Amino acid sequence: MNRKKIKLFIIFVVTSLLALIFASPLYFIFVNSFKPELDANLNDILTETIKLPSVWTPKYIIEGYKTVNFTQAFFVSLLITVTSVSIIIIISAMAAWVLVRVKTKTSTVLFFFLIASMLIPFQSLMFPLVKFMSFLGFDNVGGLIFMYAGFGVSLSTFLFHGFIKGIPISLEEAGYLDGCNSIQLFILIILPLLKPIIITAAVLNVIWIWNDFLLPYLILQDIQTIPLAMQNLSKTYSIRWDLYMPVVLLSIIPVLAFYFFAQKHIIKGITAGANK
Amino acid sequence: MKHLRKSFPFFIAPALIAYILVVIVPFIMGIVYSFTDWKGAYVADWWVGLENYKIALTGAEFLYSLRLTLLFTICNVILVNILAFSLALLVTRGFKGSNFFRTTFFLPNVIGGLILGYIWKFVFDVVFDKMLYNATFMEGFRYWLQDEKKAFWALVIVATWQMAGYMMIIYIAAIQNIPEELLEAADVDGAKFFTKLKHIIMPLVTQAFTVTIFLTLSNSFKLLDANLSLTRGEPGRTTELLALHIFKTGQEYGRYGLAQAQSIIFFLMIAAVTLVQVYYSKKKEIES
Repeated sequence: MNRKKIKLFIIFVVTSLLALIFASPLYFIFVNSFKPELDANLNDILTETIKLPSVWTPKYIIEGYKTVNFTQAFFVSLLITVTSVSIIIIISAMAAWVLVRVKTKTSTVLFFFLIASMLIPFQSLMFPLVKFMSFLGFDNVGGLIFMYAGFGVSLSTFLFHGFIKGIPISLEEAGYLDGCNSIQLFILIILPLLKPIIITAAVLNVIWIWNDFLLPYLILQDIQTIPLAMQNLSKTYSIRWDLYMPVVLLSIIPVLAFYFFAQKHIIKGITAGANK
Repeated sequence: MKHLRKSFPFFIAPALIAYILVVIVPFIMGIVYSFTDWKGAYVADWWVGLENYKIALTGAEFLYSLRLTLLFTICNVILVNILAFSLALLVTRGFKGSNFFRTTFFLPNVIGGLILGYIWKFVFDVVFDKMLYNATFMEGFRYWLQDEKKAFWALVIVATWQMAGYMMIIYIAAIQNIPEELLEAADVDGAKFFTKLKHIIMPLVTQAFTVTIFLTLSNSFKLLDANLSLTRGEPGRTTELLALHIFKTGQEYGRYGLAQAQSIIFFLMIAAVTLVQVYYSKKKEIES
């Protein structure tokens, strides 16, 4: 028994050390965002990197916040993420439902057609996409949301499809006999039943869209999302760590908050997505 | 549900239309453009046949990126999976606080690749190069992003840091599905940990390996954001992975036709590698 305890303790220590290494980059970002009095050669950050700030100051956080116009970037990211994810969820659930319930050859073919895009790398279509979307007048926030809808339906339809297959059809039949039309059936019966898988799909899509850099970079002209703001900062100031650190910190706070809030669902989502 | 057939087009249309306009049309356009000398919006695009493919497959820089990407993918798949599987074994031993550790290991995954690259740029340029080097004067801490060999490993470290937590979650789910009785029976028989690992745990999580290797393969192949923010492909173009190379061919050099040809080669490689991998892993799953 005692030997077992010692063994468990060693495992605990090893795991703790690994966790410390994993978390250390975030620690560096955090402490160096608050360091004071950075003169021209940035003494504090460069030599006292590992230490806590001698005085905690929000000076550079405020400066960084203003430089990248963080309020705007935050709300642009929020608007794009929330709208895109809502649209993806609704249109994917609609598609998945009829693809499962209407058992025809067309359904099978369309289902595989819809999920085939998982094999196509974004690089193979990004330049033609930009050309085509500008041609349609979609090179703006609205168009970007539409594009996320197009890219997002594959994974979400796939997840919903798998889930709906496991729901007994009797509830829908009862609803139909009670006089519901198909739209009522979908809203009143199907959507509530899908709730757990909707949360899963929403969480996975939020993380993807919130962090996505390349698509907004190619599509948006003068409006910035958070990753774009960070990238622009790195272009304007070559290595000003005193400004970089706070902006990196600001950009990861929302997603970390989301992570701690939705942790359970993220883990469920990954496991669901993995069972292909 | 016969009555649903009438509404079928209405329910499928939104997803299908968005998907076709955003994915299928540009993808087909991309194949067509790979046979032209497309250089930008306002220049006529001439049909050049297989010229772009010839240029791509004989271009030293493209072939360099290709080799680099293969090497990167191999290193990454091995390291990510060893680390992820070890982490999964560690946190399923049932000591207190396991959940806290899972949260920590998964953390890098919710941060986007671009920001991750900047975080690690700080670690390599400041923590390693300035702080640790000045404290120890060990050459090993210097020039992580300026030396091409070290910069390659820097990319591997960042990608491993990013992906390991995700794969760990998949392994944990698989390990937790192993029936308790099996492991207890082995304990009663006095089996050592490595015996259990080899004869019970590994065979029962093969399905998880199929998934994680598939995901690490395709994610490593397609990695771009962290590459852009960490090294931008520098020094020279020595750390430019394929995805970034294609991006630059179009975005910076304006050779969209060539970029399309490169990306079609890229697509065919990813499709071939992942399909072969899934085929073999599935076959192995059935055998074991």
